Amino acid sequence: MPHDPILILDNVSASYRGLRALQGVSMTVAKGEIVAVVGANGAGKSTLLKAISGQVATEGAISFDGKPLAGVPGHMITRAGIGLVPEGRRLFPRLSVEDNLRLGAYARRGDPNRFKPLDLVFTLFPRLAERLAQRAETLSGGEQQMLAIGRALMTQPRLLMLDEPSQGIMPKLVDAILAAVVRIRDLGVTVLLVEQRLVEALEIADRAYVLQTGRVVMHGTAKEIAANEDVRRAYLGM
Amino acid sequence: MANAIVKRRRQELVVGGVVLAGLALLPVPIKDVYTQNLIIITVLFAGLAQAWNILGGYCGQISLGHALYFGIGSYVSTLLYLKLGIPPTLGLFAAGIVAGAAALLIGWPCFRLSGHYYAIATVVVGEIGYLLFLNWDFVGGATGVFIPFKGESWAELQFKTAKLPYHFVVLAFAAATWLAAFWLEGSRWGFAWRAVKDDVVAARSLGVNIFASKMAAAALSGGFTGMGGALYAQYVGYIDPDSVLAGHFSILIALPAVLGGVGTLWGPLIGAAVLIPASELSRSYLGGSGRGVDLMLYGGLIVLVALARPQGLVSLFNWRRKSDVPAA
Repeated sequence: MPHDPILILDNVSASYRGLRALQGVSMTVAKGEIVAVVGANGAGKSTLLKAISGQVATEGAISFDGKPLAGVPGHMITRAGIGLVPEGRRLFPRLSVEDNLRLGAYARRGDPNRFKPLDLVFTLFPRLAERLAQRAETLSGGEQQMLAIGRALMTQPRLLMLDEPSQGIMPKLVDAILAAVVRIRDLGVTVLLVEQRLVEALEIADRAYVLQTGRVVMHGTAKEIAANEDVRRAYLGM
Repeated sequence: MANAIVKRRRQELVVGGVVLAGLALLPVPIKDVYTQNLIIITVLFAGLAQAWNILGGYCGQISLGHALYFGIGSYVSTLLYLKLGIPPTLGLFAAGIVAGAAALLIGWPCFRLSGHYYAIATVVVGEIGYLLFLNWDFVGGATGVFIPFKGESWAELQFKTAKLPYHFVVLAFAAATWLAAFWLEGSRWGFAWRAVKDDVVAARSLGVNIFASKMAAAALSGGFTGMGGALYAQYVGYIDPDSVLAGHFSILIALPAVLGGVGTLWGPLIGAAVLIPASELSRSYLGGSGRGVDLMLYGGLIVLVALARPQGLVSLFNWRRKSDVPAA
């Protein structure tokens, strides 16, 4: 068990669109690590993030930084310090890059330092600084993903959750984005990464959980998971 | 980059001032009472459509029941004036507050519905309001309320011979709604609304309180609409449920914004400038049988705009959009 946990799920179940998508999931994320959640389509990975961010009703207990999240509305979970990069990015397409980032700082309104993470965002993704005035919909897929991550960083999260950040992105940029995720972790933000690309995810993760039909079927260090015969056979076709 | 936005907003304020001055002078040389009346009604609807735009345009919650707030506003100021002697210049604000409160009361259950269901709910609520007032004796029921003329007075917004003072009153109202929209566009509410309109999930993930955002938009939108209703009552001197609460009125409040461009500063004004004269003319040429025809006219215009200019008539004025075009 990792010490100094920031996020604890205890026996969490959830239904999504009438299906029981999570069944008794327990997991722990410690401060400063990258935890990958891997599994096939429909394994419940996205529902897991929806459950943590308060978008679906759940049973069981979820606690963040020692405080239970039960009954906390979705927008307050963000303000508590959990940032989400949603599946499919969900940018505001007609707003400029700058306005998308400014909206990220919405949760910190009133705070004079709310635009401070901009420096970090531009250091991680210099391209965004060049495209500030462009509408988000005019960006390439990779740039949109960068903007989605940047927008989530603007909320100043202590835990950043990413839902399939490599989806619909050319391979060259996938590496750049995962490298940025590592840098974000190195800056002290804990990362929970949901990813279908098993190999790439396990390369950057410290630990991993394997989900199958809504249950945790395996967990351990990323190395252990990557070396596991069953995992390799089931997900890598080796 | 921030400078470009500040600059654009300054330009918009300047254009707003010029348009305001132009509109203020517009009816002065006109002696024809019918044309003056047409201008006053058009400006009033520009203000109403801008009020609707706050909720329907910026926040993306399509309301087809705004006649209710309009009606409530007109009844509140009129009844305060007739029963308690409170001058409409004050009653106007009471009208705004009560109508805004009504919008909150209706928003409470209705904002739990999303998309088309919200729009449908507003239609139903509007009809219920119409029926309530129709059968409520205290407010005059179906006979309505007549506002007697008590002499020229700015405080009581009564002017017998001249129409010009009314023009300035409704122009002040329209300018207030425009300024409110202008200010809101750059405020945190404006940002939250655009986020809610575009993507509720993303907005929530950024810490936007969806429900509170919608409620704030509804209160402001309903409040301004109620103030417009108070002015309208004072202008025409007679209100009944059919003239201020009927369902087609809700459409008439929403249409200029839809035609001109929803969620834009100038759309409601441009839409009203096209739609209201068109509807008045069709009515005056076709007489009593024209009511159906003006609705067909609206429908035709909307279809035309939807096909040719989905962003609304405002998109014909491209200067505003230049800064949004990608540099590459």
